[in-house]
Amino acid sequence: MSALLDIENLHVAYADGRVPVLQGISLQLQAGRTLGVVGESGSGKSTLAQALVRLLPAGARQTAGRVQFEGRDLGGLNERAMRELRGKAMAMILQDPLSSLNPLLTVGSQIAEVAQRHLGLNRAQAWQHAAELLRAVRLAEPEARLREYPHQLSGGMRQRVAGAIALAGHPQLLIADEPTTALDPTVQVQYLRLLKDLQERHGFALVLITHDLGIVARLCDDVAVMYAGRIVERGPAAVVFGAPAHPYTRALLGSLPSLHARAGALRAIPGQPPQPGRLPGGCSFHPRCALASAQCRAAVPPLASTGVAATACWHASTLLPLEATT
Amino acid sequence: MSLLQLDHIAMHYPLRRSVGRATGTVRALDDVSLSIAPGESVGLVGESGSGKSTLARIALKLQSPTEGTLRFRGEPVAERGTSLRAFRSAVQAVFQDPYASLNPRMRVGDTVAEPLRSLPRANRPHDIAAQVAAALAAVELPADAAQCYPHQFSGGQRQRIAIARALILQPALVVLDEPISALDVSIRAQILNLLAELRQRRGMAYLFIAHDLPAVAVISDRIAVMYCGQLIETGPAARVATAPLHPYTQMLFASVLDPHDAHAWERPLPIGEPASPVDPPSGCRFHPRCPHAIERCRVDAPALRDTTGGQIRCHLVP
Amino acid sequence: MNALRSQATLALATWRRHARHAPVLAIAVLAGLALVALGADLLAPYPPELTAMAHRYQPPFWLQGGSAAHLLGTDHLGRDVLSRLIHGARISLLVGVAAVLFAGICGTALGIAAGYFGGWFDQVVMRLVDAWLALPSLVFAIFLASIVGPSTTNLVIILGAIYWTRYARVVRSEVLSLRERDYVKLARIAGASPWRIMSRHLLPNVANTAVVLATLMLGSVVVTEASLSFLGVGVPPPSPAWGLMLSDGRKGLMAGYWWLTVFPGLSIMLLVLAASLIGDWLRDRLDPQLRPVQ
Repeated sequence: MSALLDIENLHVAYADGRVPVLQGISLQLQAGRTLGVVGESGSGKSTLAQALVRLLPAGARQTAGRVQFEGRDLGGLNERAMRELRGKAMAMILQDPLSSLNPLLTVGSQIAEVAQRHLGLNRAQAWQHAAELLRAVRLAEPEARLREYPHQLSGGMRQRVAGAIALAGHPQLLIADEPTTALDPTVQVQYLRLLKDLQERHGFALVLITHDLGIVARLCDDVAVMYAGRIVERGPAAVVFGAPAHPYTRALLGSLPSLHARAGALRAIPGQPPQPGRLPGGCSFHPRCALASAQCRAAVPPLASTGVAATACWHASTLLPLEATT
Repeated sequence: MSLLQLDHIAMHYPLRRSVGRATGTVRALDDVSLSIAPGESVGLVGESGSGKSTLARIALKLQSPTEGTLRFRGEPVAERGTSLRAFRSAVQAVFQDPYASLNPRMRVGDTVAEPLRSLPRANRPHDIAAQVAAALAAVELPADAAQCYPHQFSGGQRQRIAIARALILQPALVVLDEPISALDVSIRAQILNLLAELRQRRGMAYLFIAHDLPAVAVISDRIAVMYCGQLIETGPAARVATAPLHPYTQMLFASVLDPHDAHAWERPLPIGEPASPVDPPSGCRFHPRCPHAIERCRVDAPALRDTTGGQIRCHLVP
Repeated sequence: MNALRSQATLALATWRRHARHAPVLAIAVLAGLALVALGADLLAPYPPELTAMAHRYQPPFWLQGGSAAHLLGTDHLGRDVLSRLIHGARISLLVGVAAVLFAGICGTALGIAAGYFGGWFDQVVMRLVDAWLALPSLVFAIFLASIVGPSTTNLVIILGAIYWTRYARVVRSEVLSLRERDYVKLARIAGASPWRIMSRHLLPNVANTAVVLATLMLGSVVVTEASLSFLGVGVPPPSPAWGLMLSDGRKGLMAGYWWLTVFPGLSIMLLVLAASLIGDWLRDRLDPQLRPVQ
């Protein structure tokens, strides 16, 4: 079965092509599966989300590679065709629920607008659809909510409305860029469960972009770890988190404080993530890596397969299994 | 004797719907009492509406409470004069946003030196430059950073600068309001380690406010949990983090998704949203979301009682 | 430290990129006018007050009856228009800049204090500003001028007294939001006195706004000064202020002596336009600070 989303060697650069932000991204996503994209600032994860829906900011360009969705090359589509896809087959949820919604329109009209545009429903049908969607995202008293304005809702409720808008067009692919970062912990956990349940019911593929390893470990089938614009490790979540192969992934997992931690210092990673346009030569992680060698400083390691997973490290084969942390 | 003592602090704001009459009150804090011993690290956790940031502002005397007193080393702190100056020298802060904590138009050295330069002339030291260099060294930044401007540094480095400024007066207490939540994940551990080490070396007390529960658990001696303007549980950090007593604390800590914890997903889901201090529920403010709530919880607001190893505000916990 | 140095280089590159879109022409015009004003004594072919009744109403040199001796013609008293224009530039710029500085200093200081302290002081200052602004500035200026009498110094004071209110209001609202910034709160926590906070933290951060406002206001001030001089309550005659030239030139307009009004009018327009364009560019450039790319 061909993949729903097939990204092949994608390169994106800012400043009219001079500052590389994504380099050589290759990913595949099957229908109905969940892919977690993990990274920090400078990793390019949000740029990847924007590149997929071709909504890159001004000055940013795709300089190489190909993105195929449902077998069609997105690069070959004109803006009109892309607009057909956006909001319908491809939907997005963003981090800030406050700026995702138009403060001057009621919740109902914002959801109905999508239904009218993409499903061809008339106004009455679209509002009915909107009420059903609000029920589906488990918002209490959905009919009352339709007439309310975004500022009358809490952050968690607004994010559910954003989810309803995303679902309104019956998407095949839902891209969620840090959807719960701005939410309280008890609200976050409910929202993530909601996303998973909706996915099971509606069968869309989910790309979850976040910096939170815990979310990815629990929710995603597959994970891609990004650092400085490249994928450094990729594979099934159980494999990547159970036996991480890349030093960055290992170091990151090892540095997280745990509720059951023993006393003593955390295993911190020295240095900081590089910014686009100011990458160190060779492997971008080498200034912070305990295993860095001359080869690491000289050349960028390719993403090489290690069975079911892949990792981009010159020393991948020499790494010993991580000792248990709990 | 406690270092900082907050007694029965209440913070109420009138809510004005339209011009003129107040149509309700926001009970941001209600009867909150907390004391911090010298050298003790107290972690304060809570979600939106809990009032933890308001409490931090009151503890820093940036804001006056509607009720209650703030005592420093046993004495109330005046609004101005020697009493306030002594307080300001001993209680410093680190805030969340490293990009907003530093004046973009001041050199780093001047920012770090500011607490020293703000001292009355008689108390001002003569070796300010040396002290700045020492403070920067303590946060593992090079001495020539003093000549640079904030925009030349990354978020993590700026937070180190903010910490250096907080340390330069050798404070007894540092209030840290979400000091790592705006930083990249790969450098949070660095800053946590730095904070822990500095505290150990200098014997400072911390009031560490965060929603990153594992981080709070690691750095605190004691944890205080707030919900909807009230303190609902306090106790030793290790106990509260692994065996919380209050149903809300249990719900809160169960929401932590630890990548190593295989059972995180199977725990019962929290319900509802954090209650708003604008119109708090009757009786126990947590009762609408509590899986164990009984009739009494709806009617009768529980008081904060002492229990083994801390305090608890719940009818159901003995 | 390499990271620091390259960050600084990036900031410099950002500045250069902004500078590339500068309104070069406007800056050249303003700089040119400033130079003319400074070197008026050297540049002007004649003293501005020199009368020569024999050569009254001479047209500019390219028209019939004109001569190269008076490039832009002469006025009703035979005074050389070009020389008067050049000296008029000095007056306009002098009065304009002085008034803007006076208004700026008073207005910024009051705005910062009102914004920072709040309370009754803020209320008093703002009500004063509101009342002041409610009065039409020109009428108010005429009123003040008729009380204190016409002189250049008085004019600067009057203009300053009118325009400080715009500064105060804008600066105060900016201070209201700056006051809530973390670094200001942290300065309070560090024990800084209000004076220190206002001078070290608030003032440098409103400086941008104040500078933009100053450039934009220069245009308004020059027009007001010209209007006042035109009405006879500004710079006293026989000073070659452009507004006065306009007023004097009115008499000749009916008779067709257009050069007496057109040239001073064009000069005023040029100065105001240049100042406004520069003000707009400064506002665009100074507001997004030199931040590294995130």
